[in-house]
Amino acid sequence: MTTTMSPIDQYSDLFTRLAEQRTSDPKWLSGFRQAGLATFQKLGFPTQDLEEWRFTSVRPVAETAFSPAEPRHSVQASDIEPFLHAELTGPRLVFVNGRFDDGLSNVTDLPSGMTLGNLRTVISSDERFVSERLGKLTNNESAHFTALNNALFEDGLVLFVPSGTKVDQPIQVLFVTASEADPILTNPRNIFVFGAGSEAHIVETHVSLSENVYLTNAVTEVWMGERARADHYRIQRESESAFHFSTLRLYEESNSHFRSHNVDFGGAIVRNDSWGKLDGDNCEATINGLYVLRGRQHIDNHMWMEHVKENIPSHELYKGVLDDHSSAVFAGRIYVHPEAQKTDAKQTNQTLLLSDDARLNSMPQLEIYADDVKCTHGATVGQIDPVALFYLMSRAIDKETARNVLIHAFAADITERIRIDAVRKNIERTLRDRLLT
Amino acid sequence: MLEIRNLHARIADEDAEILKGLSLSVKAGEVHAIMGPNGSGKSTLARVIAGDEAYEVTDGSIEFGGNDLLEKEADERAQDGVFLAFQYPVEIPGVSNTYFLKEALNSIRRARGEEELSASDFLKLAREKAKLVELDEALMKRSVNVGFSGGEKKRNEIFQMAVLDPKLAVLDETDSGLDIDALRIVANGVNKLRDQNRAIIVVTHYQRLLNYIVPDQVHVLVDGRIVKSGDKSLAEHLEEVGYAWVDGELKSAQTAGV
Amino acid sequence: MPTTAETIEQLSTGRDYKYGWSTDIEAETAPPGLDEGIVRFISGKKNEPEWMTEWRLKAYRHWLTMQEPVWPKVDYPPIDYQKVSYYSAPKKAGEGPRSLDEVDPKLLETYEKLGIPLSEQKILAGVVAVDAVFDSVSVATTFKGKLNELGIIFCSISEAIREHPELVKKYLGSVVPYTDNYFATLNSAVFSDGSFVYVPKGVRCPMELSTYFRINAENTGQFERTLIVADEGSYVSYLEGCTAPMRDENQLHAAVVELVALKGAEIKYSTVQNWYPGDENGKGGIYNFVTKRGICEEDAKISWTQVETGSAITWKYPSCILKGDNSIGEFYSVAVTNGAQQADTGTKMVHIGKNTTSTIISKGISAGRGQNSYRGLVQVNKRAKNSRNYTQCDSMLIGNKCGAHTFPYIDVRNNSAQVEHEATTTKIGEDQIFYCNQRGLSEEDAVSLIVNGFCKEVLAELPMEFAVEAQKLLGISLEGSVG
Repeated sequence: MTTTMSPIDQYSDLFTRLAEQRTSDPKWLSGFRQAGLATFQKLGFPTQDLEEWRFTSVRPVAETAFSPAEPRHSVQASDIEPFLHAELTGPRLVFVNGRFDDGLSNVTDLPSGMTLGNLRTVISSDERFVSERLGKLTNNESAHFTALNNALFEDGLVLFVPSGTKVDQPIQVLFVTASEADPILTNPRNIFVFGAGSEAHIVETHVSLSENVYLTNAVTEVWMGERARADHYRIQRESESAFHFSTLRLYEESNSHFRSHNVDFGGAIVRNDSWGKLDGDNCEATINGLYVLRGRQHIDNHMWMEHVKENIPSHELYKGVLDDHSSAVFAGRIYVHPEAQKTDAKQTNQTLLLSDDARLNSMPQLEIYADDVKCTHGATVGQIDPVALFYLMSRAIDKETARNVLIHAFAADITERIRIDAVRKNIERTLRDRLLT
Repeated sequence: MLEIRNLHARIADEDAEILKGLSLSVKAGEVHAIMGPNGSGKSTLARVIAGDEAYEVTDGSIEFGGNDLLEKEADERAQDGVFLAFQYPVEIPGVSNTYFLKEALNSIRRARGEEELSASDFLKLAREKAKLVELDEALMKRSVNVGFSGGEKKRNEIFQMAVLDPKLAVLDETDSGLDIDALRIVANGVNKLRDQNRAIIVVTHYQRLLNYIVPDQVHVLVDGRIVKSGDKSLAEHLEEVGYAWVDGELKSAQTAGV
Repeated sequence: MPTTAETIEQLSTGRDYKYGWSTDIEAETAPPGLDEGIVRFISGKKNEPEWMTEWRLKAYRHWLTMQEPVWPKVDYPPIDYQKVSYYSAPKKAGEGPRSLDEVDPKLLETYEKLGIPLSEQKILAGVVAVDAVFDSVSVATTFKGKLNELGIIFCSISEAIREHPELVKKYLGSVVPYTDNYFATLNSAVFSDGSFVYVPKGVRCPMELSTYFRINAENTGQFERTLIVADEGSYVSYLEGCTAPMRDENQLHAAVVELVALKGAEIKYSTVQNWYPGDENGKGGIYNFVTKRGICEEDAKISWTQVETGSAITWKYPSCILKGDNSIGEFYSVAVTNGAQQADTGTKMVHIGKNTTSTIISKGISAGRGQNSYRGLVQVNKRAKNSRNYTQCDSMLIGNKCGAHTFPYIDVRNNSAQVEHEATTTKIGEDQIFYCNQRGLSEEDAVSLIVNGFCKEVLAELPMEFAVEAQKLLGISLEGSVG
């Protein structure tokens, strides 16, 4: 469905309608939302004139009239079962159309002092925790979609792991979009706070129960205290007609290590922004990505890693498999401050083009202001190695299988880094299914 | 030729002293061996003589040929005839061994007021010296130490020594990482360079090298000081009894107030 | 690397610019400012035909609609284009000398000082033919006669416009159209002189062709325009050198170079750019905004080699349009920024034909407060089946007040392409310097040696005479950067 209203008018109008339902919001929150709206009114949706959006057009997003989802829905446990990792027996939180669903979730037996819940609830139970953090890592005036999220977010995940606490079982979070006739939008908003020396694993999955058009616009802010360790898996399996925008904002203190793995299968237009500020000596960051596209899918991964202090390794590995008319953009920037001596940063983007109509734009960039650093980046683009293909075929493997074996091997660089067996197997299965169709 | 008196040194910006009052006198034509356990300060001594700014001399003096060596920069010392064969020779990508050495030699010759060598004269000299250490000529064309095996690197150091013709050569653990054949080649090279005008200091952990390069004097370095000196039999004795023996010597030295 | 004598000479005066003197010569200079009248004045001075004047005016009118680009990673105060003088010519030169005898002896002296001998008997017979451009006009072209015999045209672009209008009309603006970009459009309106080369079918040019550019007059922009056409199966190697006097004001240099390599032709274009970089505090120096681009027809090859040590600001992307099947583009670059210099340089390799190949080797060296950016595009279009690119970008940082940046853009639109990009960053190790010191080399010599080693793959691409010059320049431009 298209609209004749300008996007700014449309969302201003939507904001006003929603404000009537949000009269109980605390004052600071209303102000926060209002500021978000003001920024969005100033910026609107990005255009391709902007360097950061040169290769991604969001016109289809701007021209669609999205409306918020109705709070009622009819999603049953059986509907979401295929998307859950049954092997994971730890806490599970399910959001349907952007809102927390208590009935489908299971949060019990938490270590003492730990917070794990939905944002709306935590705002009322621990308002200060949220007010001290919400938006503190996103103060970027040029982030169009974050501004929209600030204005409109409904709910999301709040996690606080107290100092020294190690959460053994991975935390499972599922964002489900259920079918509706009109295009809906959801704006998940997540806050992860890791206390000193704490440790946890989060498995975040985005799925759809239909192939409809909708918009997911998620923002996640992550604080890593000293010596904290966290593994974050984000698996995106949205409808292939949907638009998915996600922003990760990471802040690290000394000796902490955040590892994020992003796997994207779905979405018509997908944009993932990952920003890391590595602000403590000896901390470490890993951001990996795997994207497997077909049809006319388009993905744009933007990654910005800021090395502020000394002796920090960072690793970014993005691998893509592009078929049909799909297209991908990778833009990475490693920024090394003058004080960030002994930086060891490595950024790699490798893409396999399965079709002659696929397109890739890769911009792995370095900006370095310190002299005693080791920074490398690399990018390769190519097709399946014909020599390897021939080798396999000469060993009596049929062409189709040989091709799939080689694609799996290409993706294995990422999948093998996934430390939770259930998640890895799930991704490998999805990849296999995808290649067979 | 070399007169070290009461030398105290540490790594720049660190408190702990490594050399704690070392004295040593080496005359032209002599070969001295400095032996000692790990961490005794052997390599520090080599580096301080060569003028590595990573080390700081806090007390004492070094005289070389009657001049104050400590006043000079590393390149001036080299121009005066001090040569250090590095324990870990440094790689310089893109710079050919030949070119590097020609520049070094001409820099030394200029400092001495001598004519620079032409490219062809230099090549002649280099080929001749390469034979001395059985250095493959192919290595001369490659980048300085890049992709050299451990043995090739050490041989390359002795080759450079042969070309630069120093008055004082300090060989820092030149035997480390060498198999017996490579060791013999390197030692032969050094022996051919023994000369009544040249002094050589061999720094080593093991006595093995001294079977090939027979020293006039052997000094045992423990905890930053020379605790014992003698002729080559001292090295053999050390080999038999090990460095534990010198710990005892050290203690008695301390009680004696040395 | 510099000899000790040179090093000492340089050291005694600080980080000195060797070519910083100016020549006191009577010049005819246009008043500052730019309007249609000035464009007509320049065209008139050169007795250009009407079509040329019109082309310039079209460019000028288009320029008025354009904005100065802001995307390069360089910082400079706004340029007042009305304060620049767009034409300056040594008075005696008039319409350009017919032979060396007619050249002002003071000019010849200037080039002697620069080490560019213009008197033919002094050049080793058959090695280099020189076209020298002083401010806005070409003052002398050597070896014309010998080249004529082979049908090679090597002259100033002004002369070419008059004498070979059919060639100029056909190719001028064919690679860099007058609408191309802000600086190229400005150049199209006001270009003063430059070199023109035409190598006929199947001819291998037997000597290096060389142009030496020098900006002398104060407050003068230099806008040279070079056009090289290599006809089918021909070969030419072209060298370009640049110097300018030391002046406190920034001077503008906006050149355009167009290369046309027809079927099976090869053009090798080498630059040693040593415009005055300004002083340590960033006062003065040349703003170097240059558009260089070549087009390759079938089986043709264009190779750019550049050593960029000068200029306060460098903005330059020598590029190849690989239009013909099996064509080859190469870019070898060394860029040094020291003091307050800023460089944003790289290349564009646009693969259009099948089986096209490109190689990019870029070495950036930053010292002092210098900012050095590599910016490069590799674009493989849909038709460009089986195309290959290999890119290697290495940066070296000396000291911790400088910056080294790498901004590659890779755009691939077909799956038979193979594109590889690698980048590394290193510093000069203290252990390397100590090792060199221990072998008797001074710190300056050690830095020069290590940097030359770092740049070896690029320097190896330069013709012999230039390589020596370039090595010396690297040493000189990095003096005082360590320690």
